[in-house]
Amino acid sequence: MEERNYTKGLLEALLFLSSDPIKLSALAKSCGIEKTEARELLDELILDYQEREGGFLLREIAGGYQFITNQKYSEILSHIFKDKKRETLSRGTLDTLAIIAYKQPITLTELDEIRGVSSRAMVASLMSKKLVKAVGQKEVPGRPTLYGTTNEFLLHFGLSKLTDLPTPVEVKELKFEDFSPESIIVTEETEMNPDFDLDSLPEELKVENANE
Amino acid sequence: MSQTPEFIVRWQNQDGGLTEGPLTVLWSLIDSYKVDIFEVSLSRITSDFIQFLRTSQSLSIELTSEFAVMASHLVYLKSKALLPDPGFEEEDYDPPLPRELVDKLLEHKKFQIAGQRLAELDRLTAGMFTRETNQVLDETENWLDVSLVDLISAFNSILEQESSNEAEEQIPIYEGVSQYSVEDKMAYLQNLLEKTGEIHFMDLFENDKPEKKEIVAAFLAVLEVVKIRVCKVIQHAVFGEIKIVKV
Repeated sequence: MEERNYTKGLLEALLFLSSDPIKLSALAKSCGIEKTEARELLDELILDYQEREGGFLLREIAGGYQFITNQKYSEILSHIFKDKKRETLSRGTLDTLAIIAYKQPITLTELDEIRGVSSRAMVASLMSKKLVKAVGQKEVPGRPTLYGTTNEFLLHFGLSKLTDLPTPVEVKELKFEDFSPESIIVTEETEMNPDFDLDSLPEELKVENANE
Repeated sequence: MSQTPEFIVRWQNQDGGLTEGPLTVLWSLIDSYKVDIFEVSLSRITSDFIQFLRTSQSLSIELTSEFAVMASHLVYLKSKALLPDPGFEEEDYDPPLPRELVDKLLEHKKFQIAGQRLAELDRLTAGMFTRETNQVLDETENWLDVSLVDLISAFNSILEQESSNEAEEQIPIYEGVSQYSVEDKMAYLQNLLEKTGEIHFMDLFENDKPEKKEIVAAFLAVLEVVKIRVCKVIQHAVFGEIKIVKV
């Protein structure tokens, strides 16, 4: 018992010293114990901090363990540390990310199909943020690149593994009232040059009430 | 002809891509009808969508080709639905949205909702901070502490080579005095360590082909600096290479 508490304290000390998540294997090796024992002790530590309900918690994140401030202080801390606060991602970015996260591995064409708009630029920006990476090529003609999420993605959203993502709601199960219309959306000047000229529409599209 | 709801499309300007496309517009239309998606009239949504394109033109929003594609797709679906169905004749038949379009819209909606959840998570985690110090646990552990035996055998292998590289002695020095002193070697070692933080085994010697006296001096110097805890000697687990590093 004595020794067990000693090891638990040592794990705690190691975690305290590190700002990055530490992997289970590294923790076990440093303390000279088996992984199963380490996991048991770490789970206990996580619970200890949870029960204490203090300013910070121990979390399992992206396959490692790390101290992180309690989410109940999220609001106030981001106010106090304005300069440290992470920029939140735009809605379009998040929607694209959601599709990639749930549907991975996915090609650009499949992504465009779901979004109804071209996603090339969006994927490029997600890749530059290291949230998305190429994970292979689809075995179809042309061998298009397949995309998936990164470890950085897990870290960003505080997830331990992909399966921790909330299950997407099947819309068919939703009642009509659950849909929230978001019809008014802000517009900004765009840098794109969409060559869309309504006059270039085929004649038939300009005929109103074609069959009424 | 119904009143087209006012919408404005959101753009993604910094990344150059569209955030919202025709599917979002279709959803806004469907929401404005206040009916279930399975009861939406294809004719109505088609004319409203084209109406929307016109409105957006008057608002001087430039739309991409995706919108034109959607418009023509709708017109195509509508024309297909209007083709007389043998054995089924009705004057005012108002076709619902075809299955494929409904599925596509539902799929789109599903990920919009998933995106909303990610947005909540994003907001939450943006305010969760971690500490900023970092003591890295070496996970690889490829460098192990060297045993004295390994160190001796390393020096030995150098000594064996040495027999072939006895340099011409340019300055005759009388026996018993070496031009390489242990003190000098130690100073040389510590100097190098200050500069680089680590020394590879072969860098212990000033010459590429060290002679015996230098090898001995280096060996003793290494033992000394380890003894006074200035540095430690480690060996790569895989490659067997020896390094001297600062403690």
